[in-house]
Amino acid sequence: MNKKTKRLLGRNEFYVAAIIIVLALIIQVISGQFIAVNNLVDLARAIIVNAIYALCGLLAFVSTGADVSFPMIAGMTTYIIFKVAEVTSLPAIVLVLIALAIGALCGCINGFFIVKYHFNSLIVTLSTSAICYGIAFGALKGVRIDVPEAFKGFSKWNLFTVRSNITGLGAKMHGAILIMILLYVIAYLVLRHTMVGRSIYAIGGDEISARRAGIQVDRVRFGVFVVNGMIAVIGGLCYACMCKNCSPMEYYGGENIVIAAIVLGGVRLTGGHGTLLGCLLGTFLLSMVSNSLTLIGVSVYWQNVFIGLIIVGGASISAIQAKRSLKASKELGKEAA
Amino acid sequence: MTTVKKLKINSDFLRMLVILVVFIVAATITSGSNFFSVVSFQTMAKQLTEYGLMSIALSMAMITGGIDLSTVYIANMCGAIASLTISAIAPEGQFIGILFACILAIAIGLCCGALNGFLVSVVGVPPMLATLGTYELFSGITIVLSNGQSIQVIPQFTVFATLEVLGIPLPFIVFVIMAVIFSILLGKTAFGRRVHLVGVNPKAARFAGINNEKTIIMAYTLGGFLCAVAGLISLSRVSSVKADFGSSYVMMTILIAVLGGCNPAGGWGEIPGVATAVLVLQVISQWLTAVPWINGYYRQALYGILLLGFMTYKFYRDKGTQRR
Amino acid sequence: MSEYILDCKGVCKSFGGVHALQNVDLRVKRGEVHCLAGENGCGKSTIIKAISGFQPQDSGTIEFDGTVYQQLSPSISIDQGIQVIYQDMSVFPNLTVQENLAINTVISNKQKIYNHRQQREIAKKVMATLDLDLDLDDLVETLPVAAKQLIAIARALYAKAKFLILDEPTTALTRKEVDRLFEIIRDLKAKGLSILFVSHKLDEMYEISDSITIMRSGQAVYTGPMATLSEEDFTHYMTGRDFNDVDNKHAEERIQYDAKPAIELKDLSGPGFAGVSFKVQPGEIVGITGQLGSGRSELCNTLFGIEQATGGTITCAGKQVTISSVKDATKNGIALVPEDRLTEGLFLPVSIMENITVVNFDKFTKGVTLDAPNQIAESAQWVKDIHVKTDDHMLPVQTLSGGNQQKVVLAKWLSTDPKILILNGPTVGVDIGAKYDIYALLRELAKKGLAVLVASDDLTEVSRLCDRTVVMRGGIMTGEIAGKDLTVENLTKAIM
Repeated sequence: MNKKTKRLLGRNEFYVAAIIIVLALIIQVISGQFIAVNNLVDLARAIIVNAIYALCGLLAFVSTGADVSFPMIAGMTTYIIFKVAEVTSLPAIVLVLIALAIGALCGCINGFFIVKYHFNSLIVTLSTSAICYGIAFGALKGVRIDVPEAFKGFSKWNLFTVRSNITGLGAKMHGAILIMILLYVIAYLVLRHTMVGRSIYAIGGDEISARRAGIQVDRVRFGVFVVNGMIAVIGGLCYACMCKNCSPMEYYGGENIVIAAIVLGGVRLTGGHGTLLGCLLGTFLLSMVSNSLTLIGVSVYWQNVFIGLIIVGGASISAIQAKRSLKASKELGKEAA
Repeated sequence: MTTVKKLKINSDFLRMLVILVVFIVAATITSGSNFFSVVSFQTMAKQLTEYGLMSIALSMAMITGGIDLSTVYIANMCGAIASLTISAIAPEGQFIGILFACILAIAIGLCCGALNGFLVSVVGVPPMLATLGTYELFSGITIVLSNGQSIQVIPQFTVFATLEVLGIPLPFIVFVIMAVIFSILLGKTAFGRRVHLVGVNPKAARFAGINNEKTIIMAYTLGGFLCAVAGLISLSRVSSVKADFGSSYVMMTILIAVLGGCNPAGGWGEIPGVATAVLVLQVISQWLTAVPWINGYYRQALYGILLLGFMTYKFYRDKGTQRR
Repeated sequence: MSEYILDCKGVCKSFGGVHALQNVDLRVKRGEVHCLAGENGCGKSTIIKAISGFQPQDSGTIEFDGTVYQQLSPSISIDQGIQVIYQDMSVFPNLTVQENLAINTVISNKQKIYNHRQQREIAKKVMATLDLDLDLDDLVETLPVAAKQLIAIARALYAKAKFLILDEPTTALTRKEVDRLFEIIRDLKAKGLSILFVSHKLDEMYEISDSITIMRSGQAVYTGPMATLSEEDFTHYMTGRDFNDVDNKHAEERIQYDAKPAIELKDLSGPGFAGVSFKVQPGEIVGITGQLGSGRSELCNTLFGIEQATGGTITCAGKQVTISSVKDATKNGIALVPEDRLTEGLFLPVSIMENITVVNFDKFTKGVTLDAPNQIAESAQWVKDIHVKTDDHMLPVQTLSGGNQQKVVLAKWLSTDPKILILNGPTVGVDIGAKYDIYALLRELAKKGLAVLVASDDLTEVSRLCDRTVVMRGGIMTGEIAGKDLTVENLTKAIM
């Protein structure tokens, strides 16, 4: 086999893409509605927020470990900003900057404990998440509030509306997708073409080697969590504006599906591995499954069961693969000797 | 090295005990004499059982070097299944039917735990990911079973949570019994020591003839059992069950396990310490209810701060001992 | 210009109250290969850290290339041309060969932007320093250890190294790879590079070094040319003691020739080896020798049930057995002291007592719980019997030295009362003193009727300790050497 094809076949993204195509065909055959334009636009709309969160997950897992705090950072900050917007008449841009600052601050807390004390990142971010939860619901009551005037424009910003000939249903594409695309382009440029981006992968691959090579490991890690806080806030604002209201409760627990998605996309919990394409494909696959259940006539109550099965199945397959390749590399070593 | 570095086996337990006493005294002083009344004790004793049992389950997973995020959802699923079974076969509250439903729920709890253990040890999925997947799966099954609604249990079943022996609520007695059994099991038996050793170094455990897969599956299975019992008790206390009931317990159980002396990296942790940490948290939480301007949601924030603070304290303490 | 490229004078370093380095002088001439030898914990790695700037010394000076430094920092050290090749190679397994080759250069150029085309150019130039031919797009985790090491060396050379420190570079290499490495080292020497070669293998030192510094407990105790140092002197300086090794093995008194073989393999195959047949009598010490990758470790693990045999038979004391788990092996009286003590043999943060008694948990279980007093009594007995040096056997095993740790592993398995004791690399990382203790202990045990199998690539060890040895090459058993023929020379020929 050609070496390039071999490499392609060894990649997670390839399998996820294949599964997406097969599932799409199945759904199309059963419902006849999958490739309807309105469904595709709905699907694209559905992945926006999770795809943004997926960046947080990717950065955290590649460089350090789990980050489960992004949904609550997003929820709390969005709620605070909406409240501020209600009582003041600050322009949207100032509000967004304040929001980013709050997100960065939460990220600093994560980064501080993880970098300074080397605590398990899952436990640190779980704590931050709990603190944000406490602030959002305890101090601020955390009820549902509508989008304030300052964000109304963004909230109503639709790029285009489509109407399907097959179903007769319409769908609107929200402008937030441009923000998502922009973030992915920036992330691509940073991760592929800057020293900082490559350092993130290098640290995840071997921390000690990275230190010896002169990479500022602590600074990069701290930076990752600060940036994560800000990305989370952007995701949170997009979500609230797309829903036209904000209720912190809706953010709670959002990390699970994101982590599941990026792991399916090939991010390794042990660090150093994961691609943007994988994140997008993983997110797309999970959104497709939950969006399409109704299309093929399955009750929406089954959603979690399917997602659970996909996580367990996907994780098992990659665990078994990893075991096999370990064995194979052992044999390889022998041949070389 | 001149100073002798002893293995402190039960120091976490002792420390928690001291903290507990301090807290009780402080709480009694600050919130008046009614803090330690019989009624207040009984409310506390009922509440803590559910997350207390789940904390023990989580601690076991942590000692093997893993984590179990699915505890709450195993409990809810078992509760839902028990409730549905009772409604189906014993709508009048026939004892034999209730008994069967409980046994069924516990059996399912064991299976759930075994599934977690299987995924972690035999398949080799990282514990966090495996239990995240089963968490979605179990909560999904509960949603399907309950059509997304909360399931009410027949009133006869709620009697159990209100039973008392010598003024001590039955759920609390269950917790104490389980805490004692699991303290002995993990601290004093061959199985318990194997659980610890697998957590310290799985490779060395294999070379020492320990069957890692079996040990890990057993630990998670027993955890599943505890969760099922917690689910039944919560069903009886609240008289209903919902797929996402008690989701904040996940955070609490991790906090308790760490407070009780478990090392998230595996290998260390004793159940007496964990059980005392459960009491400490309940006292704190009860104390907070007595303060009017603090609502229940603040508790989460406080737990988060407490967890970070305690880990930082431990970091500096361990650093001190290392330097010696 | 001074004759010496590196001249450390009176270097001291202490941690807490422990003096890791006391007035160490270390001088390396320009263009020579200088060997740094010493037992574990003698301060070798501390002085390297001082030279590389990662852990500056408390007092003393380091003169490098004519400049005297009170303290070095990592960046100064690298700028001056000091490069360290660590034992773990310092490569990034998740990145491509290209990135691994180029990353250091890009970092030291303080570039912010990562240009892939430029990087490829750099990577090609780096490869050219050693005439390497690797696929630049391969992930490093898929490469063999030797290739990773070459990447690390090439990277160091491209960074304009004048002085190369190789920290135990041959540990994970096969003999062929070691030869290639030595060729490269000689080549570099010819180009005028100075090399500090850290090792514990005496034969390698004679082969490659021009001069040697031996360290013992934080002090440099000998410096001089390699060629004039005798093996006895070497041992003396390393340990501070003299050893009269018992050359008389008393084999005839020990081996029970008329008994049934303790273990007999017929045509045994498994992962990484095939067609192995030999037998071991009670009281006999048999070696299994071969290079890394010859299948000796796999054979040991298979006999112990860690790996599964795929063909052939194992007979223990006349009875054919199947061994598919460690439990089966223990039941048939087989015990294994594994290759890597730290990761396979011991629970480091756990007490010595528990480390010794872990294999007998079932025996100590009374009713439901473990019988702690009994456990402690047995452990105390073993600690006394095989002279584990410790104040208290309830201390974590990581407080012990390498040799004493190995004794704990031995005690653990002896407590199962085995009939066949397999040791895989029994004295790797063990001080010479403790090494002789272990040899004596093994002979003692053999005298009592134990069959001992020693898998090792330390040929001196095999020739001294064993009565007979099985030679393996590339997973196949190529023959046996016994009696007077069992010499280092013959073994060297046989394993190649």
